Amino acid sequence: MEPVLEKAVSTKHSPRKSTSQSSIPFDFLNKKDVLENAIDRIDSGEESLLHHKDQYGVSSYVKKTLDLPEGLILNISRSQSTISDNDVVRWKGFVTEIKEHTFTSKLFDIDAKGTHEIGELPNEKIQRDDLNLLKIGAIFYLSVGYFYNTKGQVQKKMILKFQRLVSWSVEEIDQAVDRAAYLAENISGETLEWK
Amino acid sequence: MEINNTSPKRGEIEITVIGTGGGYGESLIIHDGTGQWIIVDSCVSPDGDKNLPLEYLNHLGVNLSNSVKLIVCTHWHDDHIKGLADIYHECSSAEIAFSQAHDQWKFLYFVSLDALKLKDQSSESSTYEFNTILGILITRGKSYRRAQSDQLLHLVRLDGKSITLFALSPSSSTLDKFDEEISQLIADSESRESKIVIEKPNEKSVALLFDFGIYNAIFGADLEVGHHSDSGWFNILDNLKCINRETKSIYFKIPHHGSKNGFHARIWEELLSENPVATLTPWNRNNGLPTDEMINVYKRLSKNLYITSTKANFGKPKKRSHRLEKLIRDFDIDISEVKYSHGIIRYRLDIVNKGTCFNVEISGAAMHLQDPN
Repeated sequence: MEPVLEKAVSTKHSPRKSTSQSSIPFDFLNKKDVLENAIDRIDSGEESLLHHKDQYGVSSYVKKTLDLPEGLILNISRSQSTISDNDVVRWKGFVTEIKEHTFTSKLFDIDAKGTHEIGELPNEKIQRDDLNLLKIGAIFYLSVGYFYNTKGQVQKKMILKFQRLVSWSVEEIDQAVDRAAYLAENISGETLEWK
Repeated sequence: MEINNTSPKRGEIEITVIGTGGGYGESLIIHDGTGQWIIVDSCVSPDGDKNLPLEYLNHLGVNLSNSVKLIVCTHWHDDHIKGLADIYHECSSAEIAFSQAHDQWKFLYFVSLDALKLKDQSSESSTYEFNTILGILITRGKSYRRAQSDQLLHLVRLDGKSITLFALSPSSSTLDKFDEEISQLIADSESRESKIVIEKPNEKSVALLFDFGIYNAIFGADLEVGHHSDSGWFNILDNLKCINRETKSIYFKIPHHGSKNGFHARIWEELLSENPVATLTPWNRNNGLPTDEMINVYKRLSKNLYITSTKANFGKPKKRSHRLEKLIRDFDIDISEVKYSHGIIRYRLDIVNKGTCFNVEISGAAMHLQDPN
């Protein structure tokens, strides 16, 4: 089975800033390979520019934050090719203990049901932007395996990403309040009397 | 399943402990002597395919929808609650008992807020189970039984004698503190990236007293001794009215996986008979419970000490290709699989015909722990 990694890319709610950006055809967004390449490079810190070559072979570079129309949120299912099915392992984990240099977690193999594992990982493997997410109960995704890079070379890779979600919306809080009120009205606790 | 599938007769008490090595859960199954059954807590196999208490009762040919009359949720830890909603669904005539904060609305708001996390898959399975149970309660238009110290949870008559199940904990003062804790949990719920970590459910754990006339049994759940006379085992020892001090318990499910925090000599001196049948279930955190030191303590206290399986076996990661195993090591990830095993300890006593003559059967990974001295 080919592993699928998901990444959400969102744009800032700011007016378009450059004329070069407005000339990028919308179809660009559907070119998965271009985006994958770009996301890989940005993830690895190699560059903060997207390199796009259009249908006429003309290259253009755009900044990461300017590459998409304003307000658009993309959920890109990104397939990262591995050499074979057995060459990648993917876990979902949550943090159970934090020590000075390492953290311990409960790890569930995403592709295999059954027993779980206990993993101890060095804190230094956490990306700088994710460090503030390290706390007891934090959920993360961990993949280790052999991947083809964009140049077709085999690369050993470990990807550790902590889950990020937006805060509760007012609607969601209201939903919980309404449900609690409904439950409170319809469920009651009783005590059994000695007869 | 290896264990004999003969059902207990009328007048025969059964107490069965199902436990799993690796801390995948535990459950207690009680036959009250009249054909009615009680299930305390739940556990499932790690692949999620087997609900172990249901599998056991099906093995005996018990009619789940008619004969199971009470389900008790002792506390919210995953190793006690996973699969409980399925049990409640199947056992359609059963009542359900659990402890909750005094402030019911706040408690339900917390549960509802955490339920929203289900769509992010970041909720504890405990709140998933709990939310499902609340949904079933509403569908059936039923109430739940409040479990707290001195509360009667189950009552039947056998030949004119009462057979009862009482909650020994949590105490009222513990439930007051639970209110405060829920407020903190609600604040923590604002961080939706994380699972809610309920720090001290062991204080709210529901220990039980099963009184079958001439004898009784105590099930310790995960209740710890505590530090004050109004909570934990001290509250049971000092303040409870439902305990008949004249009748010592002949069966003890040792609390909190046999940890030091669940042990106090007074429990053994004041509540238990000499050499009670004592059962242990292991757990996998840190170096695992029970420790060798505590096993030796319990061996000295009872010749009838049983454990559902040995402690979890740590060490190696799951089997994968050699190059992948090497790669995991190269990235400095230290991984150990938490091995699964499960065992059953079944205790039966015919209280009508045979009096004191009990029978203990073990199966799977369960074993009798004997002091060589």
